[in-house]
Amino acid sequence: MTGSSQKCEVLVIGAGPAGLAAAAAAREAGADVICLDLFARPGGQYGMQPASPASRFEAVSQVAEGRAAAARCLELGVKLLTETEVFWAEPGFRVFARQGQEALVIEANQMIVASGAMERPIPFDGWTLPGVMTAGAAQRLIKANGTLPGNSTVLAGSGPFLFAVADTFAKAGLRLRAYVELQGLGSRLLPLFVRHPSRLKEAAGLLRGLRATGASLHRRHVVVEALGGQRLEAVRLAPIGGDGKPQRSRSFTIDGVDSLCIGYGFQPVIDVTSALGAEHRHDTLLGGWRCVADPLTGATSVAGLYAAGETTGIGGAGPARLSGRIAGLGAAAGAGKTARADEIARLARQLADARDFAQGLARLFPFPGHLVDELSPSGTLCRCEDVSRADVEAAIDDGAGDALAVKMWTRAGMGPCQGRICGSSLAELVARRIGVSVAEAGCNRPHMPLRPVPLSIAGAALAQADGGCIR
Amino acid sequence: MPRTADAVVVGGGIVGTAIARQLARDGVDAVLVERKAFGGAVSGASLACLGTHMHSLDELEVLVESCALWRSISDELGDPFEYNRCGQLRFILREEDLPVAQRWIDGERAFGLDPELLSPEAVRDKEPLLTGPIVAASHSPGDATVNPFLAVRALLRDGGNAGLKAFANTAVTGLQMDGDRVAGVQTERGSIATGNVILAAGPWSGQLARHADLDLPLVPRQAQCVASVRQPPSIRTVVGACESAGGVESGYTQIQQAASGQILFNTVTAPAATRPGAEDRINEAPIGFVRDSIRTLTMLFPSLSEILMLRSWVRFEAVTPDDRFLAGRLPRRGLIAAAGDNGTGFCRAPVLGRLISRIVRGEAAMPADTLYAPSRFAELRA
Amino acid sequence: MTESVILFVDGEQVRTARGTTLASLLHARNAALRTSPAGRPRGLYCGMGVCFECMVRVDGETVRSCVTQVRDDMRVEVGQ
Repeated sequence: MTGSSQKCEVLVIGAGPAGLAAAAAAREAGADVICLDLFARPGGQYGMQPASPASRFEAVSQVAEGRAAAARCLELGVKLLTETEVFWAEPGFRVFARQGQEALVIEANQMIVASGAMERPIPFDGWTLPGVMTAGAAQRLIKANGTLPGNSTVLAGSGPFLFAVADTFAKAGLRLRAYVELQGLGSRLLPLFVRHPSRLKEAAGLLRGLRATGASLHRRHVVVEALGGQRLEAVRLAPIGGDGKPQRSRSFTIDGVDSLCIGYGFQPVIDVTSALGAEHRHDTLLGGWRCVADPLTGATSVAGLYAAGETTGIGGAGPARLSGRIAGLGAAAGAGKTARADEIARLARQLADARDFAQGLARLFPFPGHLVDELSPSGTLCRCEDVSRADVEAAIDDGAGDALAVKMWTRAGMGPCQGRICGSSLAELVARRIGVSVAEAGCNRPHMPLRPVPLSIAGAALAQADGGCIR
Repeated sequence: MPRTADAVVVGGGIVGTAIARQLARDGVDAVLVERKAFGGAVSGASLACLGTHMHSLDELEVLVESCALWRSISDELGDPFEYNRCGQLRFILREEDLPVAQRWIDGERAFGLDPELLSPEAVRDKEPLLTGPIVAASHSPGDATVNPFLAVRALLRDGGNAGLKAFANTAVTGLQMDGDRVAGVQTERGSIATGNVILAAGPWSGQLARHADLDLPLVPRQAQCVASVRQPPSIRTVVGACESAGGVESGYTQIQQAASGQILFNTVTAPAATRPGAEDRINEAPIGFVRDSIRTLTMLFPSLSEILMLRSWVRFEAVTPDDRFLAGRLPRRGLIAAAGDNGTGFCRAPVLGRLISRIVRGEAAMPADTLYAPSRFAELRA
Repeated sequence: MTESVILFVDGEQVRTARGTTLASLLHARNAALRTSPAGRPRGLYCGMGVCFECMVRVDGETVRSCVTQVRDDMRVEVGQ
């Protein structure tokens, strides 16, 4: 197999709200821009585009927004590469990717990482059964593909994204069996909307959506177990007690469930920024490990590397668009183009306001990492390698002193997801058992390849590296 | 953390762990300190092949004993580390390299071992997917592999049952000397007074010895490895490169499939040593290496060209001038070296455990003593 | 009208909408897509290319069905 190569002044990783805004801004400033994304259509998770123009989601505002942002990029002359996944990046920058089944190498002067977020899963008993999926997966099935997660669905977890998923069910005319939210909320929402009244209308719309699904509402409840043989059949819920823990003695089962869509929030996708050695910090409120970026330029600690959107901390589409635009202008300036200082100052003020709202919401729905303690000893922690909680604890008791040591002795995190799915809960378990902070428990360092890639494609991409000699 | 010990082993890789376990089993009050995670540096990053083939004719007695020890440890502990006596193949790509292979085979057969030279067809009986353009391969049926992580864990656990005290995330910051004798070690978590300190810290052993004003003839050498996503059973043996007539060309190749199903393939990029201190900043695998490793694997096993690559990593082996371990007394009383794996630490670890335990307990010498004695180097004579 | 694609799932001819992912087609047919190393059933989980739970074989290659678009004449093997 041979591969192709491309060059540009500014390379943008990710074509979601942040990436598309960054690409458009850099292009407007005169830079020559490539923007790539893993998915077949630009828009990201927020502005995800339906497969068919006849979809009832075509008119939904997020979809329209994503469509307009992508159209704007194309009109400006941004080169959009879809179904393209980066498997390695070198400073300077040289990026190794696969595009479909082909190898691709991109050389770029400046680079913006807007690789978005992924779910921050909390393992619970039965979470590996077919029919149990992340809330985001359900959203994508319905919105982008017109497929139902199931015929009898429970939506559960915590956080504002669950409202959005319920609204998606409503817009698709689908029913929900139950809606399970860890938090009680009520009057705690009020002060946030007093400070950000413009967000009230959107919130009211989402609540109407939830009501339209006909779901029974279970506030201050959590899913403690998914039940079934070869696939999901029932879901066990428990109310949250005064100590913040599920009360098993008062648990009950919802039978006849074939799909459980569950989400407790998101974590930044930081594989490219960490492979390039940018500074990262652990911040529970912003989703855990995030890439540090200058709010006025999007610049990271690595020269020529910028980060925007969820990669820099979970905040949703608003901060993503604004930080994307800022990073686009920053990278264009890095490539020698002139950026407008007045616009940057205005964007930075808007970004601070949008981040304030996002953090206010995040405080109302703090990530309940402690729920990993509810996993039974035989419960699966690492899905890829079938590693149980008991396996992990035995390794710690044998002298494994951090997450990496546990990984070596149990294979937790050694499977194809490269530790992305179990990483944060493994760190949580280790931290709780050893008595250190989650940040100290360690994280998965990225290595080549950042995502599994066929040898033929990796070989072809790497063969284009200079001179054929070993560094 | 204890304040005193009979012996402190510095370095929780396979060599340090094997020594610490043996000491504890022999009744020595031993402490093992590891800077980071047990087996987390060189050992965990290696492919842990145990064998007698194409290692060193001078060391065959040690290698045979070590292989037997590994097997008995596996039996005694109930197979906790995936011991697999899978045999080893060394492929030959050029006719002119056949005499080199034959010399190894003759030397090992003279010692009573049973390696043989196989035709490409006979190789495929043993390794059906090895359909690449080889002219022959040598085969050594007794060679084996272990899971490097689990081997360290099992030895540590067994040592613990015998009274070994082991501490991860405990870096040694200095050696306490009393004139020319060692008096203790300083760690991040406090000092331990002891009359015996064993430096088993692989490529970092040299830095530790400098606390006693000693220069060990050890240099780091970068090696790296690539792993695939779990595959159905595909590769049965350990497949390595035969040393070529002109010496090792671009380092060695080793390909095997772990019990997990992952295919592992590694190469040492260059026969030359890396600059001193390189081991302190472990980089990513160079892309040229990954590219060449993929080429070698798919040249030998064309049907594996579409499997998914999962991970690559780098390790630093500790290399000595004569490719033999540095194991034995150093010219400071109570200071003992056990480093210089030259990429084959697993092979020799159990024997080194016995050797060092005898030295600490003042027992009579064994054959490995003369082979590995640091005093073979002029600068390490008392 | 939505354009359709014809492909083969475990030898069976299937028609589905162009532009959709293979995972959406497979999930609608049967939520169980593969088995874990310990032989336990698994299905679509993250839906965004991260978890690899929806891996299937397409024309002899291992792919994540959630980030793979359906194509005409695809030969899909599920549950290996």
